[in-house]
Amino acid sequence: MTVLAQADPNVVLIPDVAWSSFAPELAPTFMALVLLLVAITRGREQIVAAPAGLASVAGGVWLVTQGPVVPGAVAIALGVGLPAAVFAFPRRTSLVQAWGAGMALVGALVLTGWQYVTVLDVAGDGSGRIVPQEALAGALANDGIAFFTRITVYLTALIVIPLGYGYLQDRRINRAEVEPLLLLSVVGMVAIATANDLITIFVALEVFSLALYVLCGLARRDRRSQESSLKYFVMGAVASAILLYGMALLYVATGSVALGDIGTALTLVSTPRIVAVLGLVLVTVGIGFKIALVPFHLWTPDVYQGAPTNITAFMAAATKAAGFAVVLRLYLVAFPGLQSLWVPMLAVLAAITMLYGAYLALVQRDLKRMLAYSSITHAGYATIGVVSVSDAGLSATLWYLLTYAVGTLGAFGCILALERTRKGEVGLLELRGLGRTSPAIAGMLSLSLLSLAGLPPTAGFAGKLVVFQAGLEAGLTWLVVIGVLSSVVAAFFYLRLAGQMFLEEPDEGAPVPVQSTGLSAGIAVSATLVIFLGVQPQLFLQLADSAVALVP
Amino acid sequence: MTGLDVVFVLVGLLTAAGAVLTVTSKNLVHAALALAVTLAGIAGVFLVLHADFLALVQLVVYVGAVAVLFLFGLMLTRAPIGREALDSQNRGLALAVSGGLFVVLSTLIVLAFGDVRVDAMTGPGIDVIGIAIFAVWVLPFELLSMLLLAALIGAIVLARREDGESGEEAEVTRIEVGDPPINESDGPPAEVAGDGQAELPAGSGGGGQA
Amino acid sequence: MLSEFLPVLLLFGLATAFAVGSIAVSSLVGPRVPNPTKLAAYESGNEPLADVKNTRFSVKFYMVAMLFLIFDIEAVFVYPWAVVFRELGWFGLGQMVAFIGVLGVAFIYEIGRGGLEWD
Repeated sequence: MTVLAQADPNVVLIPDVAWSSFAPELAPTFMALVLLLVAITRGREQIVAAPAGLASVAGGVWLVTQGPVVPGAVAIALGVGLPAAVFAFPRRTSLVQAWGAGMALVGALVLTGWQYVTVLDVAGDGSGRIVPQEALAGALANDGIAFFTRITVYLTALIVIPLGYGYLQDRRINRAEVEPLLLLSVVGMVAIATANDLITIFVALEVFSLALYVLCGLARRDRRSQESSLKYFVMGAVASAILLYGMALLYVATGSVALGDIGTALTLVSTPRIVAVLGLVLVTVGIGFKIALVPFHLWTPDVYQGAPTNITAFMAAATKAAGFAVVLRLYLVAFPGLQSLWVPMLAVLAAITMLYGAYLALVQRDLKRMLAYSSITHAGYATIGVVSVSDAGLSATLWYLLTYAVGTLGAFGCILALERTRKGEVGLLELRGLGRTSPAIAGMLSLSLLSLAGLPPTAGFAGKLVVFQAGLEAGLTWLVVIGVLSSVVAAFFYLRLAGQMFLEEPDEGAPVPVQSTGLSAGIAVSATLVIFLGVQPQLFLQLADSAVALVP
Repeated sequence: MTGLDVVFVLVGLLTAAGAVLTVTSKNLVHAALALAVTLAGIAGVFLVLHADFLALVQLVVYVGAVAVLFLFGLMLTRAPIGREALDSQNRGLALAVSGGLFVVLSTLIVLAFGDVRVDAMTGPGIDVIGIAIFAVWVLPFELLSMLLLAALIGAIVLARREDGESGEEAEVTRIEVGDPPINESDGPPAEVAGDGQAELPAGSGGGGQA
Repeated sequence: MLSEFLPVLLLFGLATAFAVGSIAVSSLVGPRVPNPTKLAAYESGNEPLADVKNTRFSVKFYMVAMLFLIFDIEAVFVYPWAVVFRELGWFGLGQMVAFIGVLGVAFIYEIGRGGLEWD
């Protein structure tokens, strides 16, 4: 697809809009818009919620009569649910928003499942491969990567909302815009996972990045939050500029921005190679910033430490998922012609990342900073799956991102509980003796840390196992060895934390961490998922295995 | 030497002069104004290349809004306006990097487009661009509305004065032990100044590790 | 098509010539008799009050510029649609309604949040 399709303005090709390909995104989009209007109503939310609910119910009924039952049912459910929430919690705007956002994300997950059953899984029995779907004239690629990223991102956002609700209240963060921005960010992340050409990738990247820049800076009176937002924004803008320049060079080299066309063009001899290679390098730099590969990781510790902790949790889990979705799609669809170049490059970057992240996490005193370095390390592990250019590698990366997400959310949830009690930064000292003052939080934190370290029977172990397996099968034994080494180092500091919690005596007068409903629910769900995915990974592993067919 | 070439040379000289002024002027506001001249010159280059819609967008968006925002940003953040030294004393390295970049870029561009005659270009008219946007590039277009929405929310959230703030610089605060819990219907209580517990500050921590 | 812009170029040239010329002529030909009153800063007859270097600009100017930029970009996208909206038919109208609708929600939100209040 060239940039300008035809020269004759009298013949217009109206693209057939396959609504099912982006149906799950519509729920958070509409809910974000409605919640934005609810945010300004200040006590009379019914003015907005009632008409919106009515419109949604009407649309749902029309959909049910036209054919697709599940989307119609979801629309009706949302249309009934939001006014019900407004009725149930009068004048509590942020609680209504949290419930509305949660309902929209549940609806999106339901729609993703419906999409899987009706569109993707054509064989019908869950064992066939996901058949990719092209929509909107090839701009949208609804395949396994999109499906898995949808699950990861929606699940992450769904868990983050109750985790952060009480926390935002405590820190008196401007709450009215948090949920709409969160939903906008979710929509951007899913859009980038389904994007099939460079321009859509760039715009979607900017959408979710911009929402995150604002979310990081919401604790307006905390200087670290301002620092985090500013650093993220400035460095993100530079990285986006580099990415865009790389995309422009790729267009110059190949004459097209569609990923499939770039893929075929790069295998031709007539493509100017130096331009394509330059474009590849610049794109790697730009995307490497987003997924925090070393040496493009310098923003991560300060940004993760300064941002409000629930936003950090969301960033740590979901941005990686979206970033790796783009990485997978770019490198496996558009760049296979340059494989001899980017496989060694990414492999070296992954090795450096794993070692550097693990080593630097050892010397951190602040827990959020330490988790930031651990997230850098995990980006390295996930890249192993990318550089083993195979179906196993693809499914391994997708699976790893899911397991990493649930582990990270659990860890950050426990940090949230501690931070709300301490009313300050949570460092290693605050963990002393937590096993005695609050065994539940200590237990869940240890479980999440074990998952991040990759010890059985947690989800992290299953993830690392699959990724290392894929790396070995692809012949990258040296990379897997480095990965194992880095895991050992990482396990050391995770276990040190667990040891501090259970083997040390608590300081005098240490308060018991907060146990609020949303927070406990969020942590419990994460912990449950960690155990479940670790003990029974078959369902999702099968899904991941079937997710390997890519849109060409 | 056709008329088009003459016009292009003039516009190119204007743009280059503006760019040189931007990086060499000692006054930051002069530099921002020279940047506006450079961007306007680029709009002229677009016109020479028969891309009239792009020239319009460039003038309206870049010169009309971005350059203005630049100037407001300079004035808002008390950036050094005056004859202070704005260098970072890295002139040699900067010259080397930008010179290298210039060589690479010009080589690339000449290799890629060196033999295309400007007269032969007809350039897409605004109608072709319109059809392309709305028939082919539907998804980025709708995503753009989300992007603008996010930008607007960000502008309002981050720049709006909250109730109780005086508009002066805010102190570093965190909630302290002993702060009363707040309900939704109450307004935000008075802020308590002071830091949280003693910790490694982010700046020195970052400088120490990175 | 480009020849349509020739009058613009002429206007540009004439404006530049007029501005430069008048300054040049006045500096060359006009008498130069400096006088402290003539050289003082023009502030409608009064002394300048504010110390420009240390005062802080209010953020409301920035808000105006930012809002202008966002709605300006929206307007820029309406131009190509307006040129071809007949060929695009109902589908194009739906797209444009969605685009402007989202930004309309943004507008209502901004009004409700006091983004348009000057103080």
